[in-house]
Amino acid sequence: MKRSLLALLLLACSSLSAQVTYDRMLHANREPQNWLTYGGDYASQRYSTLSQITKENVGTLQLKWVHQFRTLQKVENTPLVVDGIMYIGDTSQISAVDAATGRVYWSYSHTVDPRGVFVLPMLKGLAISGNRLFWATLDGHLIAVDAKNGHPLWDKIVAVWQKGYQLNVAPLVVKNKVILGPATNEEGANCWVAAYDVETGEELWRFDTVPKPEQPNGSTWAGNSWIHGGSPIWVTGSYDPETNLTYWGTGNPNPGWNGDVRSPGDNLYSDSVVAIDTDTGKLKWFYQFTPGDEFDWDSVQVPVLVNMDWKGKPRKLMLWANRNGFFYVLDRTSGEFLHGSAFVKQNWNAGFDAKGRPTKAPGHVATYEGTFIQPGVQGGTNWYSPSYSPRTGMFYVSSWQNYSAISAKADAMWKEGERYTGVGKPKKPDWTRTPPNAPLFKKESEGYGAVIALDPKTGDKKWEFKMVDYTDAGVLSTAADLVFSGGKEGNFFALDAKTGESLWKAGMGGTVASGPMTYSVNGQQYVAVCAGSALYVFGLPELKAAK
Amino acid sequence: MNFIPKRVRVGDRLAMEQRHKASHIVSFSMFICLTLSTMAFGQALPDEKGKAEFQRICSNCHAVAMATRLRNSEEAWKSVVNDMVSRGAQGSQEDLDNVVLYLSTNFGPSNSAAASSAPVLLPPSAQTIPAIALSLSVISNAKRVIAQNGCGACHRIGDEGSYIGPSLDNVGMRRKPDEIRAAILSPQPKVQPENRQVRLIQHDGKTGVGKILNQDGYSVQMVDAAGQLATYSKSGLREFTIVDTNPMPSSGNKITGQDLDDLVRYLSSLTEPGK
Ligand code: HEC
Ligand code: HEC
Repeated sequence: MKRSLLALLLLACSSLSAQVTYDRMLHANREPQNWLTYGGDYASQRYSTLSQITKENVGTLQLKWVHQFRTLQKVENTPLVVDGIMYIGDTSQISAVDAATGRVYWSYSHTVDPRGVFVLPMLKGLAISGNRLFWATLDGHLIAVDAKNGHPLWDKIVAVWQKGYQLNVAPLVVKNKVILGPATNEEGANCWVAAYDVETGEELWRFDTVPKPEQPNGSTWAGNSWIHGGSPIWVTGSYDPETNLTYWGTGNPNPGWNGDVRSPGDNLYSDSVVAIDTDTGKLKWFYQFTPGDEFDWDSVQVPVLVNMDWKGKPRKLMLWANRNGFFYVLDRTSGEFLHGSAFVKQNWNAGFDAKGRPTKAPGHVATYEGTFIQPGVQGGTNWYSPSYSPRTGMFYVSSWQNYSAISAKADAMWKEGERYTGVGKPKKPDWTRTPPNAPLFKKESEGYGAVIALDPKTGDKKWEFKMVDYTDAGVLSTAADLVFSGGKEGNFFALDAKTGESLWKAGMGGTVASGPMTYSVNGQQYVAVCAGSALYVFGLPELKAAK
Repeated sequence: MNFIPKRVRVGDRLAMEQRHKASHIVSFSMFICLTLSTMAFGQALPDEKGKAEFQRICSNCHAVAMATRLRNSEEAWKSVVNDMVSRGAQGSQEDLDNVVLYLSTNFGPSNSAAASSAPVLLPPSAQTIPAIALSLSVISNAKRVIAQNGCGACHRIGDEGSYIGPSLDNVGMRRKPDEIRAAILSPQPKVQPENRQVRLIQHDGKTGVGKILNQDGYSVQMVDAAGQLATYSKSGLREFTIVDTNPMPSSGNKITGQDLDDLVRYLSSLTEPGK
């Protein structure tokens, strides 16, 4: 029965031909009706020039349709939209749906190996090139699926989960390459960024995020600690066609909470941004945000690329609000450190030297008893995507304000198949610091979530939209000077991009832990966001949903 | 070129399900549902007390399988949960206790690796707590002490009293006699977060005070002393303060001797599920 319905739908729709060429990806801003990559475009600004939804009418937004995922977990997916078709998925199934009505054209399933235990059973999103969709599965497969009909074209195991790997990034496609990397379940499996041929899945190059001792920066790991150095890839990178570099944020070194075996050393390229030549896979430059990390401050943020005036001179920049609580501006051609300032309360960094190396504040190191560290383990922000609006010139990011944790280490021994974290139990967990029955009864001084607007030129906070609970939601900005985001409270909301004033909200009945996006079909603009385990699509009432 | 069709057919699901030895008789759609959750988590979670709290609180930052793959003593689970709280896991004390209970009942040292087929143990709190037989004179003396000291200005027992402090209907369930005695003689300077008060002033100057029940970025819900529930939109408020100082006066030199003993015994006997 299901099959014939599918056939009927396929017949009804003459062609699902996507044909997303490299040229289209390069000029994604020419087709704001679409959302072609995880971050909206290669610069990952999550900014859309669509402006039908305005400050004046955003208050009338209505729910148009809902897509229920198979998973019962919360969904962190940002959909792609290409010419009226949306591509979405969770860890076990991806689907092509009519972007105006939510009707499913096809679905394709992959059974994640049930023996695998994955720290974060999430899928962030898909990538597309030509008529091929690319899906990186939790258990290490990279699968190319025909966007027209959901038929698999090739299926390669690119990371072996039995060795402690998992995939949950949305891949990045540049020219003929699908670029992505694995994460480790904190099992000390060394990670990489690699490019695979879009046609065949053949590996074209690989950049190891932990160098071998004889390689450059190999000596930043004490003894043999490099063998289980981790340094995973959790989120998608960005691409700059002018420098032909692709930029990726890397995760924490293993064991994450105890740096003793890794020290002395900075443990490159953990907690860094690496700039890789897209043709060769060779490292052009790197910048490490947290050298010798013991607080799990993965630099798993999406690099936001902007061109703007810096001290009176036009410059190619990279904006980065890091889990360690600092907002950074780097020159993306050279990696030069231009600016670093805290956007949340922090107590670990006593200041930067001229090259941008942080000076660890005395006493703020992991101990066996536990040390009070700000920001806490989940960071000032985390993997959820920020946004940059070229109209307002502001950088918008979801943050955890006044948040802290007691960081304690334990002895760590690497053992195959086991987590290698060195995580300790604080001798005296401080129950008053984060009230256990927060968030409902929490005071601001005890921590709160907020969308903040930063002036990238100074790092100054222009406004702050406060929530009571924390947030794992990405941010979208539009040319109508709207900012969309959400949070753990389960609200999805629209803010004035200039002032942070709340203009509209909807209670979603589930956590918003995904990046909202916008697109249009037949002249109607939609805003889509995942909340709980469903995708919700909103639009203005006066325009009927297109057929 | 690798061409490996991976579309899951219903037959594959069947085979998988059989491997998981599911013996339920369920409708087809539920069958799919079960299969999916089995696939998603590697194993089904036993339906026991605390499951909901466990799923809600412990799936926020990582898969629940992080916990269910382990077998720990109650002590060890307690320490895991404490540790998670220090990392930011959020739940009321009761919720967290239920998580510990759930984990130690279903994922204890004696539970087999396949937790779903583990024998069902009755969680301790579901077992009947033996009623403490109190003489009528103890009860009436305790009620007199309560009335004389105005405990009802803040607490409720049965249908009487106020909503400012926690209901005492089930205090014998929550607290040991020693703790009840200590709460009366030397109240903590700060209340538990769930007993915090809200003081607010609206734009039109009207004020409100009550115990905070819930809030998000947009609104706050509270109950006032008389039990009136109210929701305020935060945009309508000029001032909004959460107060965590404990209003309860110490009765250290007012309630002593037999009176104190009777009061503690009486309160300890109150094990009604609270309202
Ligand atoms: C605020 C985030 C958060 C929440 C909520 C949370 N955890 Fe964790 N959990 C962590 C972190 C961080 C780690 C450390 C390991 C890692 O992420 O690599 C961890 C690790 C664990 C581990 C593995 C410890 C080890 O030594 O291998 C267990 C077991 C665990 N959590 C159980 C739980 C339980 C049970 C709950 C619910 C009470 C819970 N977690 C809720 C963040 C969280
Ligand atoms: C002015 C208000 C007020 C009065 C009067 C008051 N209490 Fe309390 N009481 C509270 C509050 C608020 C708490 C919660 C304290 C906390 O959260 O730590 C409390 C806590 C308690 C507790 C501990 C309950 C628990 O679950 O932790 C007991 C027992 C108790 N009170 C008994 C009494 C008795 C007996 C009297 C009269 C002698 C009394 N109280 C008078 C406000 C009051």
